[in-house]
Order: sequence, then C-alpha cells, then structure tokens
Amino acid sequence: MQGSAPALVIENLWKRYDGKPAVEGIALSVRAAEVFGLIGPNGAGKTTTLKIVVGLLKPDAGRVVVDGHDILADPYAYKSSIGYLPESTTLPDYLSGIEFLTFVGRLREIPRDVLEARVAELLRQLDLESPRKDLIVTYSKGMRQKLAFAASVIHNPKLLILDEPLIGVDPAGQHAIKAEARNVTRRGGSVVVSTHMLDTAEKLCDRLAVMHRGRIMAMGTLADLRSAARTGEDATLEDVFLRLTEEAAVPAVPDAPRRRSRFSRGR
Amino acid sequence: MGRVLVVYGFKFRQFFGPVRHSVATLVLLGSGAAITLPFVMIIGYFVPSTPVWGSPMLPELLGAGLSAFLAFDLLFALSGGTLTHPSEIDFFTTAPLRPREYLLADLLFQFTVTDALAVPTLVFAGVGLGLRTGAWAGIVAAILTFLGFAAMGLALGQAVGLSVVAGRRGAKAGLVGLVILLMVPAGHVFWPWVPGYGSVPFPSTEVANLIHGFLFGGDLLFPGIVATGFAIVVGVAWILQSGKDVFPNLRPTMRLAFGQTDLRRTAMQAEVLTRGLSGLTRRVTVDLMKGAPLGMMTRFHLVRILRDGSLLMVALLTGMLVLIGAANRLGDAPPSDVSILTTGWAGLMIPVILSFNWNATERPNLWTVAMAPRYLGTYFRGFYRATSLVTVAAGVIGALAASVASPMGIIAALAMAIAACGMAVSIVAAVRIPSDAFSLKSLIPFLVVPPIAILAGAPLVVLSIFASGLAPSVWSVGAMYAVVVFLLFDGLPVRAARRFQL
Repeated sequence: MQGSAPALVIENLWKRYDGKPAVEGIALSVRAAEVFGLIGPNGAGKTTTLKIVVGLLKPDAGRVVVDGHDILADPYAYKSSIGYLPESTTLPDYLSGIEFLTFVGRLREIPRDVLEARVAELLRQLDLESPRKDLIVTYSKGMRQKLAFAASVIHNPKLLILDEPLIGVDPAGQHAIKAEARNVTRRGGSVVVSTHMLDTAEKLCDRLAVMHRGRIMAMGTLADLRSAARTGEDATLEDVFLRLTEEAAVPAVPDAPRRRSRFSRGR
Repeated sequence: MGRVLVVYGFKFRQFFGPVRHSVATLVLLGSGAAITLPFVMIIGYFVPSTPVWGSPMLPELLGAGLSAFLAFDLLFALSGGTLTHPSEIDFFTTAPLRPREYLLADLLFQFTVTDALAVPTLVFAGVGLGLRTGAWAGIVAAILTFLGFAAMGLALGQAVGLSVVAGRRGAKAGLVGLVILLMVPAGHVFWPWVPGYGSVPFPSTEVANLIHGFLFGGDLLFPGIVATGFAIVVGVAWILQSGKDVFPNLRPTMRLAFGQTDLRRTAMQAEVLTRGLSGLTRRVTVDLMKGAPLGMMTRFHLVRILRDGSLLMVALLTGMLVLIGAANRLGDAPPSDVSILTTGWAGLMIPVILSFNWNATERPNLWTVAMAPRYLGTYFRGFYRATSLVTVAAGVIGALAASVASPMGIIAALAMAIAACGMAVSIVAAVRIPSDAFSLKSLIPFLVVPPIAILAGAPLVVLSIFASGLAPSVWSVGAMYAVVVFLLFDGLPVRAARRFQL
C-alpha cells in the first residue's frame, strides 16, 4: 500500500481562537490502509485538527486533502468518503438506536436493503441488538458511544476519524470498535484516531504523531518516535510521549539533568 | 429533495420524541386541543361583536402584532438562526449534504414547530369568523398571508442569524438595529410624537394592511407591492446565504425535545451574561471561615446567587417592577395599596426563580453537604435567609417604585415575599423538581407558593386597604407581624431538608 495515494494530507495548517494559536503550521500525511494515531496532552490541538479535516471548522491557513479532494476548494465532494466520531457525542435522546442509524444511513444514501443489513450487522457487532428499539435517552454512556461509532462507520468510509473513541466503553465494546477500525484498513481505508489511551494507541496504530501546543513534536512508527525522543528500544509509547511533551514543557537548559517521569521511574 | 426530507424527518421525530413515545402525553395534548379548539371557534364567531373589529385601530394593532412576531424571529436569529440538534452537526454536516438542503429542511422544521401548529387555531377561528361574516375568501387569503409572512420571517432570521454567527461585520449590529426599529412604534402608546404602526411602511405593517384589506376590503395594491418586495429581498438573502458553506457556523441550538426544559443550561446562560459584570460578581468575596455555620451558609448562598446568574433574573424582575411602578406614576390615579399586588407578584416570583435555579445548578453538587447531614438543615435555612434578603431588597425597590400608598402596604408585600421564600426553598429541599414541562412536580412551586404567601400577607393587606390613615404605631405592629412571619418560616426549610434526596 506504500505506493497508493495518501488518504489524508495536511499542509501548513493554522488555526487560532481569539488570537490564541491552537494549531501552528502542522503537516502530516496518512497513508492508505493504515491506522494513524494522534496523541498529545489536553489542549494540544488534536480535536481542532480533526474538526478541520471533517469540515466542522475552517482553518486560518493551510491545505487539507482528503482522498484527492482539496477540502477547502470543494467542501462537500469528499464527505461521502469520511466517517467521524466526535470527542463528546450528543445523540438524539428521543429516537431509538435503530431509528438513529437508519437516519444517518439514509443521509449517506445507502440503498435501503443494504442499509437494513448494515444496521443489523453493526448492532450485532457492538452488542446493541437487544436495546435497538429503546430510546437513546435510556442508553448508558458506553452504549451511546458504541451507537455513535456505528453511525460513523455505517457507510464504510475510506477515511475514519475517531476522536477518543473508547472513552466509557466496556472491554467487549472496545474490542469491537478496534476490530471495526481494523476492518476499515483491511478494505483499504484509513483511520485517524486521537486518544489519550496510550497503550491502546501503541497496539492499534501503525504510525503516530505526538502533538503539543499546536505543533507536531514527532511523527512515525513507534521506533521512529523512540528515536526522536532518544529513549531506549524497549521504551513504551507512554515513556516516549512523556519524554517528548516534557522536553517541550521544560525550557531548554543545556546542562540541566533530564527529569524522569514518575511513571517511567523504575523501568 | 430526498435528503431534505430525511433531515426534516430526523428533526421532527427527535423533537416530538417525548410525544411519540408517551401515550399519556398524546392523550393530554389531544384533550387540550379538543377542549380549546371549539372555544377558539366561538371566539372567532364573536370577534365581530368586539369594539376593535372594524375600528380604525385594527390595522395598527395587527401591525404591532406582526412587528413583534418579526422582531421575535430576528431576536431568535441571534442564537444562530437554525434549530440544530448537536448530533446533526456531528453526523449530518459531515455527510455529503449541501448547506441549501440542510437549511431548507431546517426552515421547514422551524415552520412546523413555530407556525404550523398554529394552523388549527387559525382555521378554527377562521371558521367561526366565516360563519358570522360569510367572507370565506377573505379569511382564507388572510390566513395564507399570515402564514407566508411567518415563513418569510423565519427565512430572514435564518439568513441573518448565520451571518451573525459567521462574524460578518455589522451583521449583529444590523440585526439588533432592525429589532429596535420594529419595536420603536410601540412607543406611540406613551409618546404620541413617535409614529405608530399605522403610519410606518414596515413589511409587517403593510402585511397587516393586506390582511385588513382581505377581511374588510380596501387598498391591496400598495401593501401587496411592499409584501412582495419583502418576499423577494428575503428570498434573495436566503438563496445567497444557503449557497455558502454554512456548516462550520451551525450552533447547537436545539438540545431539548418538545416539553423538555433544561434549567441548568438556562442558568448557565444567565451566568455567562452576568460574567460581563465580573467587577460585581467575581470580585465580591466572602470569608467563609468566619462565623457560625448558619451565617456561613447564608453568605455562601448570597455569593452563589451573585455569581451563578440568578442575580440577572432578580435584576430583570426588579427592573420590570420599577418600569411598571413608573408607568403607574405617570397616570393621574392617586397612589394605591392595590399596588401591593404588583409588588407581591415579584415577591412571589423571585424566590420561585431562585429556588428553580438552585434546583438546576446546585442540587447535583449537594452530595458534599449531604455527606454531613448535620448541616443539611443549616444549608437550607441559610438558603432561605439569603433568598429572603435578596427578595426583600428587590421588593423594597419595587414597592417604592410602585407608589404604594402607605408603609403598611410595603410591609405587607415584604411579609408575602418572606413567606414565598420559605415555601419555595422548602419545596425544592423536599421535592426533586425534574426538567420536564409535562411533569406535574414542576408545577408544585407555582401552585403552592403564591397561595401560602398571599395568606401570610393577607392580614396586613386587608388592614392597609380598609383601614386607611393608620397611626404610625400600627406600622410597628405590622413590622412585628412581618418578623413573626420570618421566624415562622425559618424552621420550615430545616424540616423539609429531612426529606431531601440528591
């Protein structure tokens, strides 16, 4: 898949809120059939970046290309190929789960017979079959998250954007979500996932970018990140993350001894 | 059109979800309609017997109504111009949907929830009127003209609202200016030199003339031209706006379904509004380390009321009282103790609103106090005292502005206000009020607080109305009575707190 066109290209992307920079000239490329992780501390600019990619925010400057479409030049053509799971999902409380998925599927123009089968498949995979006719207002947090995930993948998107997809989801649900994300890549699609669950990111993602204060501190495979962070070969993603973000947080003092994170102490 | 109907269907089903899934609510609404609509028809039949019908003032009154209607549409536009559920932003605007399709669906939905539900009322009133006058063609034309005008108002609000959210220069100022312009002729009632609705060529007033023309005959040409011109301007504005990528500017303005109320959110909005007064709210600090627990709780609630936006509601109610009082003073009638009723109204509403705000914002946080149950009663007694202080302050301002004839009248109003505070606080302590308009529990404060408060103030009201020219020594008896009322209600919140549930 190395030779195929990238699923997502971001070039020199800038976004400010009330003059305060949220994203500062980032650039990245997501390859076809890969799971790309976006990790970083709170306020790093991950969600802003993802919202720009899905068209919910307009950047101040930069270029975003999804599936060959420049999204600023044509903000609609690419949308049939993306799926999006927002960080905080608000669902229509007074629809049932099956009604909500049907609405999203019809909006995605999935033929009715296909849609019916797809809805049933997703409800089964995500263990939402029995409460499918219950109102969403009665769903638990995890059930709502799984339903929102189902809505984001119902049309088999080429590029799936997941913003903290596993928060509040039980282990079986997490497994199902990760499996479905992998299914997307098996079909040749790509997944961009933003998460604070570093152990999950380490296992799930083919490549990662560490964002901090609106910039990308390092990007690549875990080995590339270890190299960028100058950690050992056995360092976990957590070690690498803490090193990279800590280095950025502490002003550069050449002779100052590098403080080790209390989380990595004793490793 | 397919995707337009899908989005419309989604909005409709979500919004009316509580009705769709509740037979009881359906029966309730159906019964309400079955009782109300025949009365509407009877009213329609007897409207021609009223002095307003056929009077030269009718176009002016219609113009005032339609102008207020348009002003309301434009005011709503300040929040974004669309009725958008948050899930629509996440899942619909990221789908291959054109803004024009979305906005058309939204317009249809807005028309459904704001105007189409009025259609049965208009039809029944029209039938009543038609049976009396026989002018069926004119009545149908008038109803259709009104609905067309309502649709235009919504389309204008949507187009302008999206411009405001997009931050287009001058859009917000222009919108506010339009609203003010539409309301200026209302001043004609007070100041005759201000042109009234009958003499300004607003789209709303010309549509009123058109409706009047359909009902009574008369010039239809000029009002028709103005109304058509307005429709063209609105149409062009809407087409231009819907051709842009408006999705990043959509705001989640419809978090609730039909009959649902989010008091917490309303309180938070009030808090945001009062944040502008941070010099008054944020910077006022109270040392909670000092004094006995009751004093600490009272100060805590005073600061909370100051900071959480409740103050805004108190200020609004007090401002309304002052305005009403000032309007009363303009009249030739001498000061009257009947004004107590006006002041008493604020005295009843302020504690009810303060307790509703508490229920929405603070109740979930009360686990901290509930873990130390010894102080739960003190917490609510402190709440009662703080509410009483705020309400009494507002009541005094209102009573002075309302020209209450005697100090006894003011004392009566304050006694009612204090009793209202005791009841309102005790009710929210003992009963968990849900955020649901169809819940009978949410009616409890409105049903219980006013009668109890009026009963508490009744002896003084009777005394001040029927025993005019009371000696000052009687005033002190009145003041003593008010203190007794305060003490009587001081223990009630403590007893109510025993029934408290998070």
